[in-house]
Amino acid sequence: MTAAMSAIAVAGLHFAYDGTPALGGVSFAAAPGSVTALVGPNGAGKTTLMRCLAGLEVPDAGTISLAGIDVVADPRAARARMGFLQDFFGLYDRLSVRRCLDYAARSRLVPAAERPGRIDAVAASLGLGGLLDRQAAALSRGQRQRVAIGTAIIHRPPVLILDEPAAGLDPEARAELAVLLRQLAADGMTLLVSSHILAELEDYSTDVLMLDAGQVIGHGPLVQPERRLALVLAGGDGAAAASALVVEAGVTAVAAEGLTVSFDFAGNRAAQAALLARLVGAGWAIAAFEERQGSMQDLYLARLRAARGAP
Amino acid sequence: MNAELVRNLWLEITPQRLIAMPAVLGLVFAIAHVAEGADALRTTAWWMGLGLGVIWGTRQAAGAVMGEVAARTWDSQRASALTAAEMTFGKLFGATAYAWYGVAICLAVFLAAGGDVARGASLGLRVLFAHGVALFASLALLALGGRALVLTSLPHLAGILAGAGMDDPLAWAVEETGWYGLGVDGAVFALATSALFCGWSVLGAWRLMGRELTVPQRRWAWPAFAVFVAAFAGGFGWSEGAVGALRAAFLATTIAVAAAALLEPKSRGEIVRLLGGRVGDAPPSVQALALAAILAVLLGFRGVAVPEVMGSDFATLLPVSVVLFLARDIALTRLVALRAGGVRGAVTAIVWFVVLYAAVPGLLGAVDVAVLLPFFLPVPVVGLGAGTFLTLGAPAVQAVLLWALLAGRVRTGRAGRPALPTTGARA
Repeated sequence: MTAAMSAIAVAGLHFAYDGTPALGGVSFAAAPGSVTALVGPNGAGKTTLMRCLAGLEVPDAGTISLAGIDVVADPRAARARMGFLQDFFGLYDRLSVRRCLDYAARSRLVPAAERPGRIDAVAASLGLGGLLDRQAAALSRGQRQRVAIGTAIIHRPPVLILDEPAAGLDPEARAELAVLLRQLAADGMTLLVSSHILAELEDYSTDVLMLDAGQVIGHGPLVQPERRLALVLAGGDGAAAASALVVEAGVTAVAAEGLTVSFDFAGNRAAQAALLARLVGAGWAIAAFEERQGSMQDLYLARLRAARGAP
Repeated sequence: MNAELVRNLWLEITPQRLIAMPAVLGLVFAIAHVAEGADALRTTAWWMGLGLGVIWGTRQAAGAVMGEVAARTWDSQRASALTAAEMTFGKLFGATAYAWYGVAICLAVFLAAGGDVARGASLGLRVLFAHGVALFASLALLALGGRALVLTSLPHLAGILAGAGMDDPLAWAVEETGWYGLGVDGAVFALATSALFCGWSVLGAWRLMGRELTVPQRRWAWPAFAVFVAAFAGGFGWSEGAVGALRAAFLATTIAVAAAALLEPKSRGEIVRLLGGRVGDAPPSVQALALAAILAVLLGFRGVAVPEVMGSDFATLLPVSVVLFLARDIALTRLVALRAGGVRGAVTAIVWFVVLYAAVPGLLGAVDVAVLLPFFLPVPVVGLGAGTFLTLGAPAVQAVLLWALLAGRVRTGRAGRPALPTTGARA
């Protein structure tokens, strides 16, 4: 993917906090409409990377392009095309929600004639319709989070950068946030989202970018060409069953553990159903047949161990 | 309309507050008028305006940015598409809008009670200067690494001092010295000077705001200000001829160097690039030092050639010695900042300077070994002789050593830190 085709394009990014390196040559690109999960341990450089993307820090070297705009050379134009919500954010507590959104729209160059409509639309999409005339100080944590997200998207930026957007939210609010982020991506917005809760990121991300010690240790789409399946036998010999499974088409990496036999399967759902029918037809006493997806967490931990040279 | 100004007006100007200000001021003016008469009304209006503008308004200006930092809204503002000018003017006139409302009422009463228009204008300029200095100082502290809300008190104090008014001392000085022999009226000069420095304070705040917003900008403002300060100060020495003007300009420039050395943000990358020959990236202190060096050469070497004409310590190699000490001090502040950055580093550097410039020389004087003084103070020497070597050599050696130490530290990093990339860097 070329930089011109990418909604986010970063090349050779170096940043140091007064001599202490935080990013050491980070490069990646995100396609328009993608949702990239930014993951890594504490101190990996996730927040620094996001702050550089938002034009809040000037890199020591490297280039950053957002929606085709060079962030360092023209930060104002880039910011007009970008929404940014950091993990610790504030709202103007003495202003109403409507004025918080209005100020965000004004300061991100939304034309005056469009502002009232944008405020209503964002409020509706975030479930803030009934709160528009309430002071920000009177809102709950989840409501404040939604208002903050509203300020980041009111100018309909092509790129949205969210640092730990689910932090402090209750399970219901987290689920609503996931729905919202999927909707924004479906509308064509490119998202870069960091979180320590990988299961949530997995819900809505299309790509993953892994950082450790300021370096990219993994980047790519979250696709799973092979699924891990497992059958649990009601009786018999698991090892013998494993040997029999190896000859089936699309089956690899077979392992038996007691009466449980797990394997990777490359076929689609219909092939999976056909396999199950064949095994039952062959007289296998199958008590359970389940899919065990390789999680982003597994992938992340494997990459992290590899990057650190751990077994 | 400026979004930041609008937001501040939403916060500052409410119907209740619009009524409260004239009600309270009206009560105060009524008491003054009834008790003391029209003259007291005029005086009260002027002082109330000064108090509202310089004490309260300056507090608002000082907190315009620091308050955002404390409320965690500053980065959100920085990530907006507002320009540095919009942000500067929005905060300068928005955060202080209610104070200006009170000042406007006071000025109206002052003029209606027969107050002098020039004095009224002076009040307005003082208030604006105080606000400009407070906003500038808060941004300077932010750039230095100050994040604590308590730091609002320092810009507030700076603003109050700026608003305390230099009209009378300036008028006196210009009438005593003439200013480049122009024979300007003292009051007019003071008013014009206030307007000029107002402009510089706002310009400075705008430039620092641009830095906060990471807007690429050409570095012309500080060199221009340093030259302006030197030229402005030079006028007060003109009564002693060109050398007097040079001397005054040199003194003002050295103060600018010292202030910049303490207050400028200190990054390793900046020094690496400077040592790499990128003179355009030189920190403000080094830029001002270059101007001081030019003035020192003009003063010092002319002094050596014709000392009897100059008849002063300044007509010697003393200015060159001062420049060398300043070069050492810039390196020292940077070295201190490597260990303790931000405001703590500046305070630590001040402690070092008190020790080097006051405590140790005092001790040497007390034990009667004044021969070592040239290692700690710029010592006057007239003409070329043995003392010249020590006067110039002692600070020169210290400057070279400290800059070499600094270069080593920033290039290799401390405690095993890897060196910064030196190519493609942007500041």
